[in-house]
Amino acid sequence: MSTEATGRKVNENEKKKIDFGSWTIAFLVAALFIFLSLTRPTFLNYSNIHSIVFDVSVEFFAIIGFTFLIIMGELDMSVGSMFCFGGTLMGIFCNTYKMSAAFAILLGMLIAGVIGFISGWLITTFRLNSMMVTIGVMLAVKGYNWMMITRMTGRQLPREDRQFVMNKVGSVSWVIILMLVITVILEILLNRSRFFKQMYYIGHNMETTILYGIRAGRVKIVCFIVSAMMSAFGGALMTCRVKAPNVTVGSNLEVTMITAAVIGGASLFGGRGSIVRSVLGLLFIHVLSNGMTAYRIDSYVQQIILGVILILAIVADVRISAKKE
Amino acid sequence: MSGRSEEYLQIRNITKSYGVVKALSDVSFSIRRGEIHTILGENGAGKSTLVKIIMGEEVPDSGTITLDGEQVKTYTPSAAQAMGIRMVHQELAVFENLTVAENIYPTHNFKKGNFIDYRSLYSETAKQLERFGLKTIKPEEQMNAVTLAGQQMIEIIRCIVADPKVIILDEPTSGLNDDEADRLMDILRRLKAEGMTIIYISHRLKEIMQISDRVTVMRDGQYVTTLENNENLTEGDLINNMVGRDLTLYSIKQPEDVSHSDEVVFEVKDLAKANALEPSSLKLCRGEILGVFGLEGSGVTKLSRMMYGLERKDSGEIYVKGEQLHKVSPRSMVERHVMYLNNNRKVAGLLLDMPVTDNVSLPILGKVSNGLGFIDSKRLRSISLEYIKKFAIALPSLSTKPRKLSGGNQQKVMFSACLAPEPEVVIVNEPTRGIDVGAKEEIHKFLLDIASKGVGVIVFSSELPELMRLSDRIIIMRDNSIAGEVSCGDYTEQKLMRYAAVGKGEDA
Repeated sequence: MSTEATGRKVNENEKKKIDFGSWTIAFLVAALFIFLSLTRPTFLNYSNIHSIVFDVSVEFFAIIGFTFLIIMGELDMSVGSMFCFGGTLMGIFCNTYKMSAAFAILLGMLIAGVIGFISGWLITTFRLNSMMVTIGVMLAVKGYNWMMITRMTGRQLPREDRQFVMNKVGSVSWVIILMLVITVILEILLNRSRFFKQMYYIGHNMETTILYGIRAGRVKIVCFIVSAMMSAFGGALMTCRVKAPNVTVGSNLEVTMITAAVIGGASLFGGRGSIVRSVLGLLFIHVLSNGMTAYRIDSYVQQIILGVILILAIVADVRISAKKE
Repeated sequence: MSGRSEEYLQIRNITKSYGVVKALSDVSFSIRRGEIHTILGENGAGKSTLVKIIMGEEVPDSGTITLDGEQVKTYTPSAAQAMGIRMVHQELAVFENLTVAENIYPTHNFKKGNFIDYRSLYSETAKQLERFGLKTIKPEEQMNAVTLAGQQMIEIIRCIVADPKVIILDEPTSGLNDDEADRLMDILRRLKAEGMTIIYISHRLKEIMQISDRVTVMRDGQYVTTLENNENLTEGDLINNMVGRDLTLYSIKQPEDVSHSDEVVFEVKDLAKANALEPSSLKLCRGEILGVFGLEGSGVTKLSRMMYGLERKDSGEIYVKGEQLHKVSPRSMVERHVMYLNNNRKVAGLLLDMPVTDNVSLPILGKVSNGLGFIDSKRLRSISLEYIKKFAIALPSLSTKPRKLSGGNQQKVMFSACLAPEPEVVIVNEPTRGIDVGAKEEIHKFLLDIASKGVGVIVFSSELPELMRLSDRIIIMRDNSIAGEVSCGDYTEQKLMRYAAVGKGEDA
């Protein structure tokens, strides 16, 4: 049989090639960084850079679960309101029930986790469209946030409860360091570990994974829980920084997340995505808006530009996916 | 005119390939004006492809279609409709949320200015419904309130009100009970009396004998013969023509080659689901190859999916090595070393856009990971290479994606994934669908080989020669239940096809 001969031609020692295409986002960030350093003298200030990266590091917690879900072809549109929800609950627990910050945040994450479980369970059990279900969750949670925050107007979080967020290791915020550590760990796990590898398989073809005994629904539910809990955590940190629960915390965050993940190379069709690149995507957006502000570009115009970037990223995603077929 | 009526619809030298698979090769025959002409053949005989070409849904690679002296130039559904050809598809295409009247006249022929004239729409629909004896259905009723049989009739009426010259019915009785099918037959006779030409696709022999003027038999994409339905035609003639392959090309398994143990490794007891599967039972021994055959709509796919837990069952029990499964799910099957090869690799069974190594590793992630859940990539590569060699998969590299491979190699990758967990039972569906002869041969040899090593294999296939070559026993399904079983040594295509088509092994 002729195929037998060709079958042996498999290159057994083939080397891993670096796929430059998928690191486009790194080049984009670097280019933008260099451009702004050269044209805007204030950009390279340590405090400016630190503030950009700190903002990224807080939102980072929301992008973890979001990226996992996008890898599996699902969208979590409730990240923004869950982010705010974390702060709202912290406000209630610390102000009204006088809980300690750590306990308040943890309890808030748990409650968020239950909501994440409910959306994940609904989506996987009834095979619902995750975008629509999580938009529903977004609206409901947002309503609750606004209601509670209006009641708490004028009350800041107790100073001792919110001050921890400003702690630094040397001259770097601990939140940034935490982000770096988690990113590295997750990136290794995504490539090497069994559980995370399954997510890519599920994103490529869920039916296939079910056929071979992977409990795809369960993996998705876990990720919806992670997404909700980590968003609430990030939101609590952000709320500590702005001193009081605020409805603007996490507003439009879901859109930022989609843009960041997609310009980071994740596909809305599932099967592609990475934590490092999502973080780079997030960094790109923050550096860009920082730069645009430095150039005194009107914030409404900034919004238009971000919208255009999201559309371009999605067009690129569709083009890349079509090329594979 | 009369000279042309003999060859009203001419099909000349039609050929159509999908990749390496020839769906139709050089098919020629003619249909008379005003006759009911049945096209008969097994699954994959090419009937559907042929009517799709007539209907303009597929473009032939070569050959011509001529209707009433006019040759078809462009193959599009609208061109076919303009020529007066209409088709009732096997899958219903109805607007469930519209009324019966709107389903019959979807293009709104009744107008008053720019508005729909509902009164005449309803009265005309009522006339049509009465004409076909469907008095219980009201024109203003919602379509989803109508029974399946009623919906099918309404779809036929929709075709008829367009006043076509030719109407094609693809397996119209598959969803109907006997009474409903009888009524459909009456309607077809009436239409014929009105001068309509009807092309009828079915494999229910009784029905075909009742209604057809002529029957064209197709097999493996080729035209076999056209028979006049006169008093001399028997079901046996039809079956012989459907199956009459040159079997010297295939070897048939002989009783002396059957040597499996008596230990039952997989058992299905009274598995059933309303409207999908009558209580069905089967047993599989260690090292046995059990073949399951059935024509389209006979329930084979449902049986195979249900026994692996891919579809919900209403009742019935499943035992793996004597242990009853309380929860039948793919997961619980995999845990008990039962694997499933899907019938359509394009839908599920492969990760088409991931490297071959990932495809092989998917079912064995647990086996190639250490206690902390980290994947041992060296082990993974060596297992992948082992199967690539075993199946002689032609690959440029281990990171090649299956989408880039030929059908045969894709199928082999799917087999590798399925067998990498070293299962004790494999349920394989259409193991050689759409692949070339060489790859087919290799896969057959491989299945025989794993069975000789003690793996129990259930093969669901629509290819009789394949089953006769591989199986120790063949179970035949018809009308959602098991119609019979034939043991090795008694295999003839006629016998197996007779069970599948009429439900009996012998002449009545």
